[in-house]
Amino acid sequence: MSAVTVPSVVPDEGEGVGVAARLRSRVARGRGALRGRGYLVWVFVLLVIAAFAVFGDLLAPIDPALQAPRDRLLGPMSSTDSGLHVFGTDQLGRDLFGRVIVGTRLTVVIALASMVAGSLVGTAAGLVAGFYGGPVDRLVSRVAEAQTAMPMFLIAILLVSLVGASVVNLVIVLPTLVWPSFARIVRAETLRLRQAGFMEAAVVVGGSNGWIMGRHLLPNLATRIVTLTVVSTGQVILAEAGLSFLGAGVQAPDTTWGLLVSTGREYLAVAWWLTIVPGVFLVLTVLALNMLGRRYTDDRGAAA
Amino acid sequence: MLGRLRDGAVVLLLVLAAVFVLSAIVGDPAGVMAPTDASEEEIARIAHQLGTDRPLLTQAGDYFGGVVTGDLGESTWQNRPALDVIADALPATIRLTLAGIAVAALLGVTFGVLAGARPGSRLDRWANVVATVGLSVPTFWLGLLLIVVFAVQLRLVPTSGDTEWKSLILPAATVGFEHGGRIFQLVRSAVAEEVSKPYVLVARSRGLSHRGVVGRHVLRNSGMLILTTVGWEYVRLWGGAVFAVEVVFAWPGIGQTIITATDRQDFPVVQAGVIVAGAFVVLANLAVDVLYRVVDRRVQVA
Amino acid sequence: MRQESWSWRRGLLVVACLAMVAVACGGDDDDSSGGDTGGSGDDAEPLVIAVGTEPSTLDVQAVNDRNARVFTSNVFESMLGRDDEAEIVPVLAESYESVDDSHWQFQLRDDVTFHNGEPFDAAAAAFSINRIIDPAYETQRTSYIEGIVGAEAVDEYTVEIETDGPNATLPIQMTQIQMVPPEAGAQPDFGENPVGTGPYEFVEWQRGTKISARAYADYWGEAPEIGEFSVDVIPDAQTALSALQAGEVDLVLDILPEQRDLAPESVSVPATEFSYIAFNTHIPELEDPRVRVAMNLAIDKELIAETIYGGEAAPQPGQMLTEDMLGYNADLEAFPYDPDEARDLLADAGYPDGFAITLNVPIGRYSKLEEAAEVVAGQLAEVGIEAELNQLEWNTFREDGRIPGTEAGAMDLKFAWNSNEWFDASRIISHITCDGESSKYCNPEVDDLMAEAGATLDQDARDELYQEVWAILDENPHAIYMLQQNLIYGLSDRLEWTPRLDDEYLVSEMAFG
Repeated sequence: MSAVTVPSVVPDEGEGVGVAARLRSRVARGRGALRGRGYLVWVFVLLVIAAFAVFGDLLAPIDPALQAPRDRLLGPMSSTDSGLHVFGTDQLGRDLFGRVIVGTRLTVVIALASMVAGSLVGTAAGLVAGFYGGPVDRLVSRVAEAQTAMPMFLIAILLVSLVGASVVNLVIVLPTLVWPSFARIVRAETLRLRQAGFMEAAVVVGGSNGWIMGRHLLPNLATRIVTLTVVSTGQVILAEAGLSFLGAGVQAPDTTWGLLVSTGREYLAVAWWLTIVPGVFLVLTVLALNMLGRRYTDDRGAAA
Repeated sequence: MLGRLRDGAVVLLLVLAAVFVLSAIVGDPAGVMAPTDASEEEIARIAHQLGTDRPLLTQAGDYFGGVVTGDLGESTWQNRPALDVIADALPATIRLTLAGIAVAALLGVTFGVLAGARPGSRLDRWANVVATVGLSVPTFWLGLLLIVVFAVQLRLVPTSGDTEWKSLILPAATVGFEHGGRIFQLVRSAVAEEVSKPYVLVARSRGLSHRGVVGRHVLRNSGMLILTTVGWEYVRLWGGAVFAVEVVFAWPGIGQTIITATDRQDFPVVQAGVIVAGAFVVLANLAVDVLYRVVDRRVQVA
Repeated sequence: MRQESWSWRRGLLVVACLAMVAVACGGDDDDSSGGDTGGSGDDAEPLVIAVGTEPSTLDVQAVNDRNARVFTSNVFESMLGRDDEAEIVPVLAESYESVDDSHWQFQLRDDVTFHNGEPFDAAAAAFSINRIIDPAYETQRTSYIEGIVGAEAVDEYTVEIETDGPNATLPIQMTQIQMVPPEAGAQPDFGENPVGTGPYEFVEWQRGTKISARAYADYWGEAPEIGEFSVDVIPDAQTALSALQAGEVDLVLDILPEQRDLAPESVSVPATEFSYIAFNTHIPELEDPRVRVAMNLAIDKELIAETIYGGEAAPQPGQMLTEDMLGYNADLEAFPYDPDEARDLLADAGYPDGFAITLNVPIGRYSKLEEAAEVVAGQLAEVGIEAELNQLEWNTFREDGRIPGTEAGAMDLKFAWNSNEWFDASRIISHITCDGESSKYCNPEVDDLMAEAGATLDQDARDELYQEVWAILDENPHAIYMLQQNLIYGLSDRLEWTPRLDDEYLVSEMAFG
């Protein structure tokens, strides 16, 4: 294959980020300390989210399971006998803030599980494709390309609505959205090293395939994989939210932010906070991940 | 070229196969169509009407044969060819994707060029932040937010549906903002890279203004790349986000139709919808591929 | 060489782009035909009713779908109908009587024609009835054709109907079997070109958008005030409400209580819909009637009606009927909210600490039901009954809900609703007899009474028998009797209309004001 392959799929974010990052890091270093502290905000955000995920309703100011039908659909900053509802109450009078906190755990768990699965599958596929080349490479590449070209979202909806919407099914479907990106960069790097003669050298020295992969390939990829992981987690969170919103994801009584947005939608005209507030949490979390992903790339200089 | 066509065909085949395999395992369209307290016999009767009680192989034969002849089954919900149902919804989706990509291109390319031409400037930094925010926002939620602000509170546009020309504004804006972010990033980096090339310095030293250099040389060199970026993003549109927007805005396109059909377990329509969408993805992909080859040749010729 | 392949590829690209644009522009033609339906010189815009789902067919005899009914009830008529007090009145038939236990005769009007000119006579009536009961026709309105064997024309305007044994509900069934023309009705595309005897005739069906009709000039009855109307398909509730506010739609059939203030006008009417939580009396915890009475006492139905339903519902008076329905027992009252009494009863029955049970709810169809279920679970918990909510997808819910109480897998508690558009207690018969379909309740006394009622044609006798049944159920309930819901309609400013009690939408009863 020539050095420049004609991509038939959408270039993934990683490549774009690389060049931009190079330029930005030039600027960043120029601005010094002031710029350096910005990312702490995002770290803090993620810590708060993690706390919500771990401790759940323990952190809720008002018991999220407490129903109070007479206090239903109250706006943000409403006070009732149970206390101050910072984000208002839902259609059963439950504190919305508490409900959002409770929904954090499953959102995070699904995202992490899918990410782990997707990145493992993708990395393995990329390694294998780049390392063994030939028909194996062609197969993996074809599958990745074909899959990226399919309307995956629709197929996910079809699949999940037929086989049943459940957390398990989500964790099976979501990684498929993510693994091609990993496979692509791992494969490219593997190929590069292969062409640079690393493999022959290693063989001469007496190393096994596994040793080569572990000791040489992975460290070179570490930066890009980490960035990709961080940013892809955000994409997975959004994808799960989208599927749950459309009814093809998590089902009641489980709750995630995406599902909260969906259930609140019926009352959009009379109680906008039910839909908007969970979405804000989604935005902040994914934004934090994206910002930190960039920051990580900046710190390491070029992503290439 | 032939290779690309073959790949496209393979993808389409995969889509078809996936859809059939999935839908052949399903539950009960008859159950949904019968009234609340229908008896077993009533449901069995409806199932027989639909043909869902035949053996799998027979159904498979009919299915693939049908695809070739353009017969994608009969909608159980509307009692007419499923393909017709989707065909009726197709123009709305196309309108939305075109309007959406137009907004995305407008925002993304404009700011991408402006930011990329002056990397590190204030505009660049702010634009980057906005783009990142755009990529962090769930599309459907953004749509809902826009509805709350512009339709419910300000009453400037209808909340949903496709009732007048103004109905297109919010859905297109939602799609546009979402995809504009990615276009911005790619355009910006392409332009920034171009701007950092030596010839720019040379042209500047010859007395050309920065704007002149950008306008005349940088844009021409990265122009085709920008075009293909927009093209790829358009392909991505068909992969998913636009359908979520359709649902949020009750936009009568393929996505909305598929979701409604899923609710009613009208699988012929869901199948037809996924197949048609898949075909469009393949078509768009092919078109962009061709475009890229044109770029490639141009670059080589130049 | 290179030049040639260059332009070939370019050409392909151009073609692809043009194709996309062409398809997109092609779709816009739909909007332009909207102006044609008002060509008769009427200056008032047609009335528009919004429905949530497109009907699958306009063949009125084929489906039991409210979305279709909104249109077809204006185009078709039956031999009998209901007035605004839900009493049965003659429509196409002038009179009727039962000749013997299995034969009825109907005398028809002689001045009626179908929209296509075919005359309405006994032959047409017989054709209509035989058409719908034909097993090959496969109607979905099966409950309306039960027990009808056949029909035949005795003379030009008398038709005789044969039933399978005594069938006291035949008149009710005759309000729901519409008359179709013998020639047009035999065509395969009747579902797209409906022809009836009603005050409006079908004009056109724009798939996915709207179905339109105009007043029929030779209608046998009083000419309607509104000259044209259309039924528009707007799947999304928000969109429908928004269209109502904008004046594009005149009537939206179902709006949420919370949205009442958003509509230009709204009106609500008690629907014939009754929600209930069915007991599986075959499981040990629910065998004792005291437990079931206790559970009825434990639920504060008024709270649910006031809050979840925004006041648009009322607790059922101890039975799933309203006053104007046959079998209504005026001596019964709704179970009061009395958690203390509930706890005492539970203790008496041997459950001082309560017990655990599953409450099954369908999701995705009716959000108010889901909300109510959560409140119910909370209230049951307060008397010691740990009710675990099992939220099922609609299809699964139906299937599992059908498992009879004696078999494994039957639902302990099933939160559902019934509609009783028959205005007759016998509508719920399958739910409360020992071997009724999907029955989870078995009381020999009730069975006897139900059997007796089914065997007689004397309406008064039936009325008394059913009242006895409900009296028994009051002490030995088959369900937690929840609420009778209201239907809330959103109306535009210009529409003047009083909703009917039987969930029918007759444009002939509407006017612009």
